[in-house]
Amino acid sequence: MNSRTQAILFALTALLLFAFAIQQQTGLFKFKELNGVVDSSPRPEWTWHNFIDGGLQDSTEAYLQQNFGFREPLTRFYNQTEWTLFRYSQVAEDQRIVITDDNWIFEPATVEEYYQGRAYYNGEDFTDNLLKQFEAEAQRLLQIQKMLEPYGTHLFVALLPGKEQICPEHMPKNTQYFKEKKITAFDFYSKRLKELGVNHINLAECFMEMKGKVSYPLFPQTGTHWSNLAAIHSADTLIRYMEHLSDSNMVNLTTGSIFQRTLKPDADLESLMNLIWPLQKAPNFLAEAYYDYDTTAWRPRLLTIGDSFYWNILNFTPVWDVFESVPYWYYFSTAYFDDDDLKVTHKISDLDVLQEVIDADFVMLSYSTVALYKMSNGFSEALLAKLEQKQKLSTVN
Amino acid sequence: MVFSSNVFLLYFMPAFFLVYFLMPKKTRNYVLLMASLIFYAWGAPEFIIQLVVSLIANFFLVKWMCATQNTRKRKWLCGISIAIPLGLLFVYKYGNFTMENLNALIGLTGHAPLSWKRIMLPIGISFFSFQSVTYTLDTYRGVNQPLKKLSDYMLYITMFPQLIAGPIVRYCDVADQIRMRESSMADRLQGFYRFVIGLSKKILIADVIGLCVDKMLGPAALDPSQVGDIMTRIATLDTGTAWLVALAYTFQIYFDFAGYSDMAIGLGRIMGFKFPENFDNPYTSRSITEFWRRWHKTLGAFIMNYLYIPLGGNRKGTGRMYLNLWLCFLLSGLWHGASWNFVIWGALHGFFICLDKLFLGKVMKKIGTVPSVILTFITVCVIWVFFRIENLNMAWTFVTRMFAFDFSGFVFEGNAMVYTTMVIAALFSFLTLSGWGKKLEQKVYYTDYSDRQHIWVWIVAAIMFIFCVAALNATSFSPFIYFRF
Repeated sequence: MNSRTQAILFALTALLLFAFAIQQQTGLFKFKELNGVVDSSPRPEWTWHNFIDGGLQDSTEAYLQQNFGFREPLTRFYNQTEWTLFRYSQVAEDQRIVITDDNWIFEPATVEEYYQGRAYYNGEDFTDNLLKQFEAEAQRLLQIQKMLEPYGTHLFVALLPGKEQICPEHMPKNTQYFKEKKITAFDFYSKRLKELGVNHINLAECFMEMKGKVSYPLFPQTGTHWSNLAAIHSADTLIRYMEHLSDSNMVNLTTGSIFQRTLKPDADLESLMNLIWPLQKAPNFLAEAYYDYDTTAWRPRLLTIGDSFYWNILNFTPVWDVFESVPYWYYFSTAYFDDDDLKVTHKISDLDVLQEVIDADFVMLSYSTVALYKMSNGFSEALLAKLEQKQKLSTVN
Repeated sequence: MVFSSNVFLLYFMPAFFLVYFLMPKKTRNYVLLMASLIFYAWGAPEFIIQLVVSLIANFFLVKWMCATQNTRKRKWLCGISIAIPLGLLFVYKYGNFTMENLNALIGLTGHAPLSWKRIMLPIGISFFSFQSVTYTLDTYRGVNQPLKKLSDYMLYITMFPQLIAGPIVRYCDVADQIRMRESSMADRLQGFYRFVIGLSKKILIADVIGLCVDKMLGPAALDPSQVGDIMTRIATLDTGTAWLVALAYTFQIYFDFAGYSDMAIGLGRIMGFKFPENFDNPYTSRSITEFWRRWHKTLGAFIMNYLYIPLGGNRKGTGRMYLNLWLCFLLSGLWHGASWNFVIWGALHGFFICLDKLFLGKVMKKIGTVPSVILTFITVCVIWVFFRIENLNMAWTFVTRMFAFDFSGFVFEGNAMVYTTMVIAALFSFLTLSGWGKKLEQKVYYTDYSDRQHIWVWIVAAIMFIFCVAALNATSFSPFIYFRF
């Protein structure tokens, strides 16, 4: 016998089944987007050929997976359930992110780098071959440094610290990576740059000196990059180093009052877990950076070739006021220029690399520990070739 | 299309039921038929024409067979009618296997192998071929009248709830329901609950455990390039790990298959069909013989009715009975997959069933329920290895590691979630060994609910459904770190 209750429940079942499609089509409820980047699946192409060869079916499923209604809250709900019940995160598992028992999060590359000194990004061990590559890179940089001197351009390397170097006490102790610590590429490279006389600054050493003396963390607990305050200190240190290199007076940076706040980049690894509630963690601190207004100070042009750590310097310090220009060549693949949002981008291949370098007063190669294996990502080879070509031409003329 | 996909759960199923229930009763079979053809075409578009043509041919052959009085002619027509689906099954499912083995034999004689183009296996062919055979034989035997309408026949074979993975619905079981059926609100709701139970078994248990099994053994369809690595890993497995992997797979396959059957039964029930049960707590069996009365029951019934009995069953002497039994399980193994590991899996089951008949069954009865259940479960667990690992050398090495008593290095790649899921799986697998477990099962599956109970069960089912959709998608959402912040 059909009761009214059963009829209502059946109607609710229908509503439940349709709810996902209705939300997908209408976007009736608005939800915060999921963090992280995935290869987006395009809208499927409904063609006969696509249907017959099965492409339509695959692309429809992939598209729906990324666009079905209520995806964002449901994904967070499921992730939170897994985390709360089992301290398990599928994303962490897939991306091999390491979460320690006290909720410190590390990228796998930093853990491997710390324990094994592995050439993570190259997928090879820290072998003689790799040592030779670093040696060659250092020799090239020395050559470039000398060749750029007549143009008044100072080339230098900024060795940026990794989270594993500054916070070793939080490194996971019981992972598959845990092995006897070996010499790392960072140690070797820094030693060789010093021996050869290549201009360089080892910010890891500066950070280790600072550690314990400052009351705020230099690296956030659940992020992979240095903190806002660490970036400000680094910027100031780098300016002082540039002053030393060029024997000049540049604008000084000052730090405003420090207050407790977690910025989005401070939890960039945690955010990938897409949980409902944030992880329990130590507080992060923030400060504004200012520059001392000084009309007599030199405002040089700084060209940076570096990894993602440099974003925090660009985002948290008034570099536009300290320098005349601050073009940034991200991994020597994409060039960002000086508009306020750093939205003007170019492919490196479209630029006149030599001219850009010669036009700069400082060329900084800034790499953190795990990205160091990319070296200058082809920059030194490309620039040296162009410089040699230019030298040859000028000799002929 | 599979049930545990977004296309099915979020679009196909809601749209189908909306149209189905909005249409007049007279036209609902047409709606179901169209939906079933779309469902099948979505998964195997290149095979749909052949399926439809073979069904049309078979329908008229059976009709002709039933109309004729000439016994010899009837036999011929029956034979042809059975040969069509079985022929298709042989070509598509066993074509590659046959050619590979033929070429291996030819290779032994030093001749050049025969060239052939590999054939893609159409999804669900093993199931609808058998259903087609039951239709022919049930009408031939006069158990049921043939269907009058071609559309009804096509519906019986292609009905989407059971098209891909069963249960194998014998014609005699649903002949009347195809012509006329009723679905009350309670049926529809209980169908929905059953569907959600199946979906949960599949997504929340089988898939979670399956991920771990795949990590240890590689994917089920192993790429030849992976064989070396996996073989090395298996050869060095410690005994504890090997047993845990086998145990994990034992639960995975049960919850995967039983989940699918639950979903099929649930979908059928929403429309008023009463599909036969396919599983009855198989891991509580006290012997392999009992296991086969509880595991994939519709296949067991098919083999019994359409193979074992026609072969002579136990009517032609003890020796022949053993041969028939063993042959049936050998073929049952081959039915599961065209590969030698499935043949061995079937042969081992046949072997233990023969032992049951000889003496083991009596021994198992004597030693009591718990020991016999444990021994049977362990046997099933070991035999599943041959089902999971296609490479025979690898499968054998795995079994030897299970009995190597080498506990030198536990490397099972499980985590708290996998272990908990396995405990839950074990709990549900053995629940009915206890009196309260049986009562609970009876209550959940087979009792009519009061309105108040419906409300509570519906709430649980709705939450589980939402959770399954979340799990289905969240587990595959794995964003990369974006360094631009």
